[in-house]
Amino acid sequence: MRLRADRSKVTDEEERALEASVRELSQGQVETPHPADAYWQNLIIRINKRVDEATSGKAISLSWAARVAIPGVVAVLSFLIGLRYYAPDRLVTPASLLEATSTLPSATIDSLVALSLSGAENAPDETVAGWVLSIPHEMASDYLCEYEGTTVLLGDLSDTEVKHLLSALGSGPN
Amino acid sequence: METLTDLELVDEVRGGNRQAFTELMRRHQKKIYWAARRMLGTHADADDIVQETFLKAFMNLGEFRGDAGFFTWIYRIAINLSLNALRKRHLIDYLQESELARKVFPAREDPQKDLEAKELEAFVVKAVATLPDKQRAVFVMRYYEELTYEEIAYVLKTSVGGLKANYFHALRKVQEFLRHATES
Repeated sequence: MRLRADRSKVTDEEERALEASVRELSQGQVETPHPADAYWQNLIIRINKRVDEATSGKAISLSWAARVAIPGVVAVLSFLIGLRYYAPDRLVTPASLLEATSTLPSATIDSLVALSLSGAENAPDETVAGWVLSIPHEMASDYLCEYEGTTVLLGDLSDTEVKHLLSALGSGPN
Repeated sequence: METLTDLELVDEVRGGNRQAFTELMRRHQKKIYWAARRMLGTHADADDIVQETFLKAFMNLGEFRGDAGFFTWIYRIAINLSLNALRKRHLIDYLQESELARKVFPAREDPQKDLEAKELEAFVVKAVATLPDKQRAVFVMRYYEELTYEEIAYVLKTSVGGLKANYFHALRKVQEFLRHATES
């Protein structure tokens, strides 16, 4: 089993004693060979050459291309591709029913009208009359007063429709 | 040029004087070389590290703010490059242990390797090579370069607290290694 390293505080004396022991043990051993004097001079020349290469126009432009230009172009292209193919459709809530209807193609409007009328064609007269006449009686009164067409209106209506109309207006048939 | 301080030379280099950089290299190359060699064990690796260190220093001289000495700054670059080289070496060693890797990377057989093996003859070098990377760095900086703990903390970007324990453990391991080696 591996024990945890001893974390107790090391005193300066302990450290110095141990260091001295290591230095003593390592005395008289084969020393690592030192490089010749010519090596150091040559090393400076080689480093200067590498600095020249690294600071030349070609190296700088390559470095600039690698660090700035290429990642920049990739980022812009990714953004444009994302915008073109992956951007969600804009969800615009129309301000009114009229506005929403006006955005529909005319063929769609026609088919919607036909669909709404198809129900009326097959429905019994009473039902249709109920739809038409299920309006607030104030609105019906206003309409009749404005156009003064009570006679014409009543003349065109069947007895049942008249009954419905009068009951909608709030008074029974007299 | 020789009478100027490191900071004055740095200013000269920033002004475009390449001769000043050569003077800085002349002053510090040996210390950097030995730090790298003690960390990595071989001349070839140390040579690479010295070149990389000065190249990096020249290219990033604008980042040197002068809050530490120039030598401490490049020393930090050298130690970090050495630690990176050690990490790479561990990875290569690990890969070479696998059967597949032995086929892909056949064992080297060249005179350079024999030379390196001879270089490792010194027991202390062998002992240092057994230390974990961080302990090795602390040992090299403290034992050979005699840097203060504050300087080592700056180089390794760490707090002073743990460094003392690191150095003590490294000393104990080296001492143990040397005892065994001299007894046998």
